[in-house]
Amino acid sequence: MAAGLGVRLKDIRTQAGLTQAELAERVGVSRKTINTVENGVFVPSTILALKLAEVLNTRVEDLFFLEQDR
Amino acid sequence: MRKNSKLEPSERRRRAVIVTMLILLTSGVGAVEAISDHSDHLRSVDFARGGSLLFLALVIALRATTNFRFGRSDPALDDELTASNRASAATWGFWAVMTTLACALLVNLRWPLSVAETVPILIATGAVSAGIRFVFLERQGI
Repeated sequence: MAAGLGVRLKDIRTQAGLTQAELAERVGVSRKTINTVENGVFVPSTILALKLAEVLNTRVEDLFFLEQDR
Repeated sequence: MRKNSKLEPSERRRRAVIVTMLILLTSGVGAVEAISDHSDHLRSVDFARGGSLLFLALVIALRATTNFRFGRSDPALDDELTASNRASAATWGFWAVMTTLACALLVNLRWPLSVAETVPILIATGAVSAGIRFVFLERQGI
């Protein structure tokens, strides 16, 4: 059974009232990186995931989850 | 609509790689033509063309596959997404060179090729395919 990465980053970022550019600046990456993570194109490293969770004041498990293929 | 002055640095870099690739392709074609026309005795202008091809290939290969730059690099621009894109571009460049080399060896069995004819093609193929891959991956983030 293959598992993909589910992402709730966009929802949580929007709730926090941040734009992609603002979040990117706070985390120290480019806006493109945030965009590709939100769209599921790029799987971030553990360090970046932890930084995102810290900036958004949430847990990594809330931002990302395993999507099971059925 | 975005104005040029408000282009993101990563977008400017992507466009710079595209422009360099176009120059590289033009120079590559010119160099191959020059070498093919005078393969028995190379003139200084042929060396100049070949040299410019090598320089441009080096620039595009460095820009697309490493974080090399003359000035100070911006950590936000050289983040893990860019590093991942560079690694993928380097892999594509490597396999493009290997495939072209295999094709050149096969062609050489029937029509003998000189090293001077083959090297510019190998360099241009590797650098351009790495550049195209890098630009394609960077574009996904727009």
